Amino acid sequence: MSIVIESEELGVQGVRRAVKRYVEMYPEMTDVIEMYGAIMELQQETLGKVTCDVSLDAKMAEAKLSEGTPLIDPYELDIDAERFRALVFDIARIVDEKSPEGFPHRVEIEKWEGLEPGNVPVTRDLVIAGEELEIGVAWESSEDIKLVSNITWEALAPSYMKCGRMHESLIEQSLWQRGACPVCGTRPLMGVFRKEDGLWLLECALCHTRWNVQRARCPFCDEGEQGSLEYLYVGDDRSHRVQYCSACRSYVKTVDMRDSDLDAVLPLEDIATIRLDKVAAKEGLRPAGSRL
Amino acid sequence: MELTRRDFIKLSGAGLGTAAIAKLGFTMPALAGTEPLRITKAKETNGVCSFCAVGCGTLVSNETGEHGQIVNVEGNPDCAINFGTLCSKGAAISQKTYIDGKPNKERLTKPLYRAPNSSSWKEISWDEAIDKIANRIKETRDANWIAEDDALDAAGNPTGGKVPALRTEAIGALGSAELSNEGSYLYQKFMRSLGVVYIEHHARL
Repeated sequence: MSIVIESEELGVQGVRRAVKRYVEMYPEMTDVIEMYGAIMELQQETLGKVTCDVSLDAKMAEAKLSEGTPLIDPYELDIDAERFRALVFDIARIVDEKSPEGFPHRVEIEKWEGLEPGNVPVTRDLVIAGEELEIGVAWESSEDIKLVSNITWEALAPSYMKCGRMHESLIEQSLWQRGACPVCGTRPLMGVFRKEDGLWLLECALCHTRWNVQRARCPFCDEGEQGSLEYLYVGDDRSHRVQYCSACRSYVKTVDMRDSDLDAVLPLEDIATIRLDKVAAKEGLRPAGSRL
Repeated sequence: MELTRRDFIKLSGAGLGTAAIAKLGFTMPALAGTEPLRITKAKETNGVCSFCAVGCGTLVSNETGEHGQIVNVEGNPDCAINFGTLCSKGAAISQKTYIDGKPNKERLTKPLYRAPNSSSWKEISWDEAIDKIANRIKETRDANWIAEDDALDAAGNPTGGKVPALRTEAIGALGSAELSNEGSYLYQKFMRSLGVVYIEHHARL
């Protein structure tokens, strides 16, 4: 079966419309949706300015996917250091201005050596690998360092999104079917059952490429037997699920779009469905691909 | 299990989305956890619709647990036959087992036998049913065996000679839409080994 999935570009206006829609649906989460929406707007603006210097043809892509290798090595991608640095500052500003507790290290992060052009690859590698950043100032807690890592991740995203958009048409889905992104190898942010046919698509947490995995089989482990993949839902809301594997205990939240008129914007959906993360944690599950 | 904000931030994603909620002081009504949550667990299993010869792939959801009931049936989007679609019969296939949440009493789970001239059915074992079928095939075949036919010339007139026939015309075979290609091959092979020549399939839409 040949399937090629191409993402629809949101653009700044698309982000604004999505934020408005999600705020209407989840008014109790207005503040956090609007803050993340502002970050998404920045990412969309940056997406039009960054470049991707990775060039692959269909044959090379097929060879990589067949041997289980993502199309790009996320640790080798060239990052525009100046643009990246500016985006980190902008995101830190948004977090500081739009969050109730603010971001107390906003000034300090502007002096952080990790954002100097020569250090950007190391910083990028640490963030993608989930390692703790080395920050040479007295931070309050490791949670603050984690927050810098989260901000840095969001600032890296446009470069990877650009590569994802350039290469997603090369992805022959039947050659992949794995739990990590076929473009950059990153774990999924969330999943969606496609409106047209219920195909299960996962969306990469970094480059936001969507790819197809089989419905009744765990994409995250080799168990792969019928019955290891289960799901749970809260109340009567069957359209928002936690898809989890009883063998490897990984989970990914998934939204069923078959009864919806509009496509889900998964980064916002991820925030709106945080209750499912809590339920999953209480069930002893861990997000797919997370390093705990 | 009590879930602290610190635990949650460890569990949250690499980006800022859910991490922000836990770390930056946003009110978290969804995380307040004051009301008990009604959680339903289920799993999906691949299946094949048994109503016709198309063989559409299905995904059958049933609640987990020893007697988990079927809660949903849908077309399997990964199946290259139906790409996630099902006809109305296929979508209602769970009614073979359950109707309105209760076991379907009309569903046969054991062989039934109606004796000649009897007006009622009685349950019999699979061994007994298979023995009866085998005996009747043998009796019918033996009683109606055609060992040879008249030999014909090019114009279709008998030559007075004989040619081997080795068949029975008293038994007919009707295949099943639920058989795979391999199953159908074995079925027709078995029938031909018995000398059955009327071999058909009920693959009719």
